[in-house]
Amino acid sequence: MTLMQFHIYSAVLQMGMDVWALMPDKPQQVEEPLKVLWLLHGGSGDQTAWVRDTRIEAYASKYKNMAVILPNAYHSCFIDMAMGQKFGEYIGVELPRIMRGLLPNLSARREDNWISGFSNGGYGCLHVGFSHPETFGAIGAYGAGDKADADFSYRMKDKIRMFGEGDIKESQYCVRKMIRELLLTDRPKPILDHGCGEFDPWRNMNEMIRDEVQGFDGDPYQYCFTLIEGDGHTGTASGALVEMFIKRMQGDE
Amino acid sequence: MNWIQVQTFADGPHTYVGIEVFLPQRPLPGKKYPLVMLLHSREADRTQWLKSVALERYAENAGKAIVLVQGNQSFYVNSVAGYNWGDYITQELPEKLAGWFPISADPAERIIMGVDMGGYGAIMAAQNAPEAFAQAIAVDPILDVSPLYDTHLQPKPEYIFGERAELAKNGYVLSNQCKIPVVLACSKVEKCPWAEGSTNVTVVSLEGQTVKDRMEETFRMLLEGRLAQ
Repeated sequence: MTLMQFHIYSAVLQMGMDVWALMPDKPQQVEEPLKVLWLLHGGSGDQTAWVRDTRIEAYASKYKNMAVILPNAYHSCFIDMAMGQKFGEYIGVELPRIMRGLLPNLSARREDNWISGFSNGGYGCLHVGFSHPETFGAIGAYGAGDKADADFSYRMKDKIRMFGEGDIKESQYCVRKMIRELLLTDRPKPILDHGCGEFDPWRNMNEMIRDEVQGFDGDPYQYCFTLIEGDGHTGTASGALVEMFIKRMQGDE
Repeated sequence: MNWIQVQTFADGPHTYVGIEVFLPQRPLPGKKYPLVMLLHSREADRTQWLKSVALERYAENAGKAIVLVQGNQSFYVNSVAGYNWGDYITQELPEKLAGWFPISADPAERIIMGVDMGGYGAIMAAQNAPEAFAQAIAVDPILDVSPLYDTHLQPKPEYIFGERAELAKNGYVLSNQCKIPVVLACSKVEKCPWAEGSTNVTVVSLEGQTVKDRMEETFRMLLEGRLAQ
């Protein structure tokens, strides 16, 4: 595929931002608007992470009808931080507008927009996806728990900077709460694809989301959970999971 | 402006190439922007125009897409060895740019401009593919490649153009009978016999002392609409 390194300006963040994109090599032969995978990096990653840690380009290039957009959001969890910048608004609202302006072939239909991420980005894609279900039709969250279930006792400053004082479970940052509360509205419900490695040290947090979503009547999120046997919190696990997600969303199972 | 560094496979020269794309800060929905392609000189790369010219200062509000093309040492022609850089810059690249970005596919909104080897490439593009561009602009261009055969420049000109005696036969001689408007921008003191008796060629004498000055001056004149077609 064609790798594009964007240097754009975010008015929300009031700074220049890096975004990578993987695009079809022959855009003049693409007839339908491109399906878009928005792919969020982990806590120690940036826009380069998925390309370096997985075979994302090889998976995505099998389909001639899609683009992969890889934003950078620094160490933000992709949320509007309690003591920081509005990375959630940047990723969920501003970036789609900017990228559709610069790459007019990107589809704006929600069914064609899939947001995925690993680790911090797994939480991030849940938070962004459930904040903007009109924008994103599917969420692929890998190595992903709810920060409201996380142990921050050894890094309280990190917690307060991101999520503020108090119990995250009672806040706008609790994704299990968001997942529950979306059911009480008429807003569209995204497809939710989820998974982690068998030996992921935060596997229990993944399973807390799994158990909650599997408890809903009627499977409103067309939920699927995949455990990658013998793997952990790694690029091989997230790569395998996102490949399955792409296959599922492409109807290629 | 939005700066996009593209790395892609180019079919013509059969290699991966870099492309630098500059788009207006806030592209208007549905608008397709006119394209200016900039070609570098023989011993430079596509960053030359960026390093030599305060590109954003002049292009910021010009409402154009500025694209810096990588051409290696190809002279931007289809070589006798079979590397089709000429096809790449006249057809493949403009089509792909219009496919990826909000860039016009209309040749009437497409200008090709180069310096040194890039100037040769721009005029040659106008000669070989006049239907693809509205205008070609050449700053301090190489107008005749035959003196290269007397040098030790690498790669050898034979690999690009074939034998010296066959330059005309192989189509590597620049005609001054241009089918689309060509601007020849060079220093004031230079005489340009090539332009004598030409068709569609405008010679612009520049104040600039150095090549960088003249690149900047020409780029600025273009964006200020002073190089009317």
